[in-house]
Amino acid sequence: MAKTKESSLFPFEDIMRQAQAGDQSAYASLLKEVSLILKGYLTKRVNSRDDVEDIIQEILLSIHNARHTYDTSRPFLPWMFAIAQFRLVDFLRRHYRQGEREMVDFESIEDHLADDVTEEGDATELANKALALLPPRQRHILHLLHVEGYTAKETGEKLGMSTSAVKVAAHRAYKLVREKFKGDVL
Amino acid sequence: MNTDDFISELAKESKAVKPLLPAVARTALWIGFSLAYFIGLILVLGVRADVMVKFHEGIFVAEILLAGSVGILAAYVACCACLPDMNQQDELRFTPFVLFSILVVLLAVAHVNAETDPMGSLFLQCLTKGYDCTWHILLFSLIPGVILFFMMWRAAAVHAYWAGSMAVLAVTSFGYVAMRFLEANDVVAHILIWHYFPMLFMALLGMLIGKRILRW
Repeated sequence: MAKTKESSLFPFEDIMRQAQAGDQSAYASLLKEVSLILKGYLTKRVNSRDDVEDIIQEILLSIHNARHTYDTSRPFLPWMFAIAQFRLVDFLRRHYRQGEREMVDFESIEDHLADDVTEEGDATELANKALALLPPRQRHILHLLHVEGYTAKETGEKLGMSTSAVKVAAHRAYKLVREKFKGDVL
Repeated sequence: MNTDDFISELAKESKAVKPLLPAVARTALWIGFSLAYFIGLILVLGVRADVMVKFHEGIFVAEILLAGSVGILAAYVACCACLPDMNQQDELRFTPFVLFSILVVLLAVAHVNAETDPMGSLFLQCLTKGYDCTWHILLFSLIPGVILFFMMWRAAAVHAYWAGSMAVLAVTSFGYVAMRFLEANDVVAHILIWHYFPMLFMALLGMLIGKRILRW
């Protein structure tokens, strides 16, 4: 609540006017204040902290590109939130493009990934068969995430991919593994 | 890159920007150009011979005024819809279609009063090759349409579908008015089938055009 009160005291309209006139320090302070508001707004709507940071930066870039469209005689926050919501919806649409909201319960086969290959076990064999079907890159990503225990961000850094790209690749891999795993179990 | 560094980068590269003209001013500019264009078009192609007689018919005058109003209002809504916050005038979003509906109702009443078999004559109109009028409305609207879309593209449309739809409705409304000054065909069924329904269809297509052209 206190943060909301402080935000409401920040002279967004005046600072944005200065920013439109080319005042770089005013612009930086405006974007900083905006990023704090966006953090609160997005944390309630997006689970992953990495994703929140990505979306904040996308929104700030959009504000930067659209700053000439802001009319300083009107309140700033509705304009800002319109852009924020637009980019949030964009992000969510990209993220769930194939309508795959359910994440496979990878824990059901995770335990078998690190098993000794000489050990007999239907579940291990199935999991390994399923993984063998994956393209090499996806297989490698799952290995880094679930066997070696790297986070998505660390995996991305190792492979030269963005965090979002790692998550999308992992998600597609889970789907393939689940389909194979279910088919063989049934 | 963390957000604080990102903000520093953005601030470093920022320069003074020229704010867009207010939506009212941009609308007025576009309408001014469009009026000059359509008047020039009518003069070059030749106004219908009975135009002075038509001005004494209340329904013709009402039709022209309503269609022109749809065009003006749709142009204003398009200029608002290309801004992220819709110029903070979200309540105006549907108003062009309200006027458009009044116009269609006016024509429908005139049609029912004029025809002994209203539905039959509408069906017959579908069989005539009246699509020349549709083509003409589309062709007349091209240049003002390109200019309006360019003006909107320079903004930052969050409601790209709506902005595109309103822009097409605006240009086709003016195209329609021009047709009424050029073509001496006052059969209401013809106007409904080959002028108004195509305008509505084109406004729907405008959503797809807006989505494609106005993304940023």
